[in-house]
Amino acid sequence: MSKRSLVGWSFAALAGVLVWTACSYAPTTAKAAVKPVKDRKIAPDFALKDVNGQSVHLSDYKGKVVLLDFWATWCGPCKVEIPWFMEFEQQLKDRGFAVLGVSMDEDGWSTVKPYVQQLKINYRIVLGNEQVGDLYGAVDSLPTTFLIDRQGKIASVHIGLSQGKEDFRNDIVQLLDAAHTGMRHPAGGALAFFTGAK
Amino acid sequence: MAEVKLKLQLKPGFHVNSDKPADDYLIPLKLTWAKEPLQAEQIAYPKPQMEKYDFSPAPLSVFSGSFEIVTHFKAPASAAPGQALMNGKLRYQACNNKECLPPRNIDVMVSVYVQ
Repeated sequence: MSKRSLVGWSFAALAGVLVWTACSYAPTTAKAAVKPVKDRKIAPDFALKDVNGQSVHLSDYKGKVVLLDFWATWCGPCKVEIPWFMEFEQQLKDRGFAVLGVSMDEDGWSTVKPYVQQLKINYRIVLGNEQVGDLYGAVDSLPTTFLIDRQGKIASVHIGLSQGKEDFRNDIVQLLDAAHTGMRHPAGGALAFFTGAK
Repeated sequence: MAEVKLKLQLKPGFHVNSDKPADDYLIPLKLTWAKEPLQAEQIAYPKPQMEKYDFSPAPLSVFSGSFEIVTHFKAPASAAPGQALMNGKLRYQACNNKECLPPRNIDVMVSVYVQ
């Protein structure tokens, strides 16, 4: 069997020195403040499937404060925050709070389901896709976490590993308490006020 | 046999998982080549660094900065003489100390002359 020899190696333009640019990336791990009500935008609705194949809509959570977390099993920083969110879900759900995790794993439930079971995640997980990521401003970095108020508006965005659990908790409680300090005009124009009730 | 070095450079602050990350959920760095016209006999990754990050209780097996992946190719007897292109794919997933970017695939191409 004759052997071929290889002569004259060269790299085409795409090979050689590859420089990962992540060129649109900018470090954004600053603390995210809760926006004033007038500056909040409506959180886009979506329909995504949970592990049982049930369709989950963000609008199902209207009236609740929602922590919407974009994450993935390959994301180490996400794994730090998940236990915090589990604690919030357990401690605050009776006050009208819910966590909704959107997994951006391309491999789907075969990867996500065992991970959820391993970590004993106690809140609802759905499988995300590029379209939902785009709806929320082209989610690229993970974790990216949105706090949504009871009126379905985005109150804050956390990109990257948060400074600490209490930053999230303080923002969540602020939004939960906000519902008790005012009410929109009901039909007929009468006003009703609730002050400081917890 | 011939040796091809793929030189890679990451932006400061970023790392990618090595070809053998400790955690099954982490996405390894992986270079693959088409099956022809040449045969990739061996793909050699550098020795990884073990680094600790804010989000990892244990050090992770990673690459950062500049490094090379070396492929040893063999031309089979059936390889036609002349110019040929070898196509490959590099898969990676990068993070910094606080956040992670999605896994990506890059096309890699090498021009060779078989005689």
